[in-house]
Amino acid sequence: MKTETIELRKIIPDEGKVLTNGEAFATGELYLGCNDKPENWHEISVEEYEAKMKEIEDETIEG
Amino acid sequence: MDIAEKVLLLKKDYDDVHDAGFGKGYETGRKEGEEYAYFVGLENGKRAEYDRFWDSIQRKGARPHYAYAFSYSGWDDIIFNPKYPITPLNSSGIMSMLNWNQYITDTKVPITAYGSASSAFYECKKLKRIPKIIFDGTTNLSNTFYNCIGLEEMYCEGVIDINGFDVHWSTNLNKESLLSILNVLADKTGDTSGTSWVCTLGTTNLAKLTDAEKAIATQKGWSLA
Repeated sequence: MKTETIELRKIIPDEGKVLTNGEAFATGELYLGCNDKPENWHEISVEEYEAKMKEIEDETIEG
Repeated sequence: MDIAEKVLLLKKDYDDVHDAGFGKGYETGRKEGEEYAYFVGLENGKRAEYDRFWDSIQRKGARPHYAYAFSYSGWDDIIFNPKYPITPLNSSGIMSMLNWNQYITDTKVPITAYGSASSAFYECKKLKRIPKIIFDGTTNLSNTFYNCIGLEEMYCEGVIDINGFDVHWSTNLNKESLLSILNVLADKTGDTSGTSWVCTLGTTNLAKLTDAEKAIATQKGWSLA
């Protein structure tokens, strides 16, 4: 028998919010990598997130 | 009827049966032979045409890149049947390779994501299976799997060593596929650049993983979104 400790740090966005580090987005819980810091992430509204997604889609179609 | 006549009659009967049997056998044999030759010829012809087509499209396996190669319409599961693994040689890689293809469900052959994989499977809503994708020298993962809502299986090999991997649209991915993704994430534990390494699986996919499985990524320095 062995005992293992799994350390998982997570950030949970508030209701109606999405987490972003400026490049990636997390619509639900975000599990932090061992070197990542909570301060690298901030919340945006769902509307801002959807607008950003639309922007990415438009860029891709045009590009 | 004397003996000689009976012998003659028997011989005639024998000859008649023999001739009839021989004739029938010959006809059957010839017909079967013709059919066999026809089907062999047909199969050989089809194979030669397939070889010529895919040798040309894939330059006998040495095509420099597959940018937009099978994008939009015109390629479906019947026509798309590559002869060689997809192994691009230059930086255009597999950029937009199946961009907006709404027909192909299975990529069938191993794909090496060398160079750009930007929008490689963009809006491939019908795509269900990528049997093998090898990340090797990948330089761009922007929107690679954008809106691949039907993707169920994708088995990864190689190493993902850049940001941008995002499959949150593919909520039907099975657990083996998700684990194969986590297993090919590069080890970033020694990275001091301050870069935030993120692999985006999406809430639905994350819920399929145990904490120990999530830790495969986080312990290598990757955040899971």
